[in-house]
Amino acid sequence: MKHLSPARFAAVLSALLLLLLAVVMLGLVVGPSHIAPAEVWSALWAGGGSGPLADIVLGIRLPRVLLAMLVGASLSTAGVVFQALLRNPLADPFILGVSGGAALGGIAMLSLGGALGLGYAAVPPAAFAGCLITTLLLYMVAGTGSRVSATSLLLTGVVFNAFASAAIVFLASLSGLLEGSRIFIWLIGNLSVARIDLAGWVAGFLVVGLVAALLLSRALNLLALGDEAAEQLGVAIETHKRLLLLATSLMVGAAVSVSGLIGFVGLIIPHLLRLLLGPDHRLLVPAAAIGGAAFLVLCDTVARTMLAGRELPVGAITALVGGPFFLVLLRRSQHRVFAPGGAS
Amino acid sequence: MSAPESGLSFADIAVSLGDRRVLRGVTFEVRPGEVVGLLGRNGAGKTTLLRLAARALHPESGSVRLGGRELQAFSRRALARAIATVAQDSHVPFPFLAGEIVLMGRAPHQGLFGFESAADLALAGEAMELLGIADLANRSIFELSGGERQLVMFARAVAQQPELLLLDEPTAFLDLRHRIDVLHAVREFARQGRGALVVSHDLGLAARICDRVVVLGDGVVIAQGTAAEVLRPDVLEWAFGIEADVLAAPDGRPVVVPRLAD
Repeated sequence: MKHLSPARFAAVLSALLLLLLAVVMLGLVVGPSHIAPAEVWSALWAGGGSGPLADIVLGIRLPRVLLAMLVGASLSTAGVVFQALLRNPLADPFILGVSGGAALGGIAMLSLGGALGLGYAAVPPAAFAGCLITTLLLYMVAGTGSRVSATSLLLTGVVFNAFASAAIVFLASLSGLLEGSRIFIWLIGNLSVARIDLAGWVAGFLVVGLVAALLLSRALNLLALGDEAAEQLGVAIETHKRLLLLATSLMVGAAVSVSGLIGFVGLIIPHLLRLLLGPDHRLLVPAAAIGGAAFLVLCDTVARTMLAGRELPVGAITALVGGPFFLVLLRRSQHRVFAPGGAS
Repeated sequence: MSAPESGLSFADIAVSLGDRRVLRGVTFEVRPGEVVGLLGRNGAGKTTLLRLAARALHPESGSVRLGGRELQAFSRRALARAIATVAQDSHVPFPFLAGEIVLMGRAPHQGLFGFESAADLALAGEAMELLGIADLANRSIFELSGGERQLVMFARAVAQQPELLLLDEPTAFLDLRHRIDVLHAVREFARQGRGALVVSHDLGLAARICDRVVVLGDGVVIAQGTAAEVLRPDVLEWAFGIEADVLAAPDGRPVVVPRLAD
C-alpha cells in the first residue's frame, strides 16, 4: 500500500530544497550585470563582502531573493490551507479576495497610520487584520457548511477583489499615495520597492503560520473528508479551523504588506505539487512552502530581466501565467465542482 | 444476555428539530457482537438516531450511553476510537489514493503529526481485505465508482477499530457482489465482539444480517425483535404503508415481497 514514509518525505523535500537553491543562485547571478556563480559564492561565503560585485549580490539581489522566497512560501502555503479548508482546489488567497482584504488593511494603515503616529511597521499587522476580517466575511457570505459552494466562493472573491481595489484607490487618492504610481505596487504586486526592513515581520509571520499548518497537516487531510467525518475521526474542527484561518491570515497579511497583490502562486504551486506528489498534506504543506519560494524567486528574476533596463511587476508575471492556468483548472474541474454531488 | 452496561444504549430519547418532534421515547440497545437494523420510512427518524449515536446531535432528553458512559463524557478522540461512522455521501475533493483514505481511519490512534506505523498499515490492509477491495489500494479515489468509494469509506471505518460501527444505507449504491462483501464485512465485524447499527431501506439485507431490527415510525419505536418476529405483513403495513407477502428463505429468515397496489 502506497503511503507517506519518512524516507519519501525526506527525499521529496531534499529535492525541492536543491531546486530552491538552484533558483536562488540563478536569481543572484542574473541581472543587469552578470555575476558569475563563483563570484556570487565568494561574496556569500568567502568573506569577500566588499567591492561592487559583493555590494550588488549582498546589498541588492540577496534581500530581494530572500523576500521573494518568504512571499512565495507564504502565498503558496496559504493556498494549500485554503484549498483544504474550503475543500476546493481552486481556492487561492488572491482569487478568494483575502489578499485584497489584506492590501486594503495595509493601505488603510498607510493612509491613517501617519495621523496615529504609527510607522510602516504597523502595516503588516494591519494587513493581517484586513485578511482575517475578509476571511471571516468570506465564510459568512459563501456559507460554512461542509460543502461551501464553489460558485458562490468564486463570485464572492471576485466581488471582494473589486471592492478592495476600489477602496484602495479611494484611500490612496485621499492620502496622496496616488502620486508617482506608488499605489500601483499594491494593486499589481511588486518586489522592486519591497521594504527589506519588513523582512523580519514577514519571516516571523511565515514561520508561525507554517508551523501551525505543518502541525495540523494531518487534520487537513481529514478535513478534506468533510466536517462531520473529520469530527468523527477525532478532529476538533472548530478549533482547528480557527487556528488555520489565523495561520493563513498571518502568512497572507505578511506577504501582501511587503509586496502588494501577487496572485495565483497559491493556486499554481499547490496544484502542480498535488499532481506530482499526491494530496497528502503532511508532504504537500512543506513542499508548497519550498515550491512557492522557488517559483516566486524565478518569476521575480524573469520580471527583473525580461525587458532590458526596465522591470515588470512580478504580480504581472504570476497573473499572466496564473490566469490561463486557473481557466484550464476551472474547465477541467467543472464536472466535479459544479455537478450535483460535487462540491457545489 | 450481556451485562447492561456494555454496548450502545438509547434510553427514553426525545429530539425536536425546529418545531417538529422527530423522536420520542426511543429506547433500545446495540449489544457487543450484535448487528441491529434500523428500519422505517423516510423521515421516520432513522438518520437522526444515527447522528445521536455519532454525537453529531444531542438529545433534548434521555441519554445515549456507550459501555455505560454518557457519550457526552467521552473526549473527542476517545469517542473516535470507540465509534466509527460510514456516511451515505462521501465527496472527497482531492485525489487521495484509496489506501490513504483507509489509513485516515487510524487518525484517532495516532499523534498530531507523524507517519503511519507498520501496525497501522497492517490494519488498513486487513480492513481492505475484509471488504474485498485490497486491489484498489493504490488507485485514486477519483477513478473509483460510487460503490467502490463507499467500500473504501467502510474500510476506513473498520480500520478505525471501533467498538461500534454506524452505517447509513451501506449498500445503497452497490452491485450485488459488493453488497455481499458488505454484508459479510458487517457480520465479520460483529463476530469480533463489536456492535453495528445499520440504517437501511433494504429489508432483505436487514433480514439477512441483523440479529435484531428496530422499526421506527413517526419518531417512535413501533416494533423491535428478530427479523422473523418483526418483518410481518401487519408491521410492514403500519411502518411503510405497503402490503407485502413475507416468505421464508430455506434458512428460515423472512423474505419480504411487496405487492403492487392495483
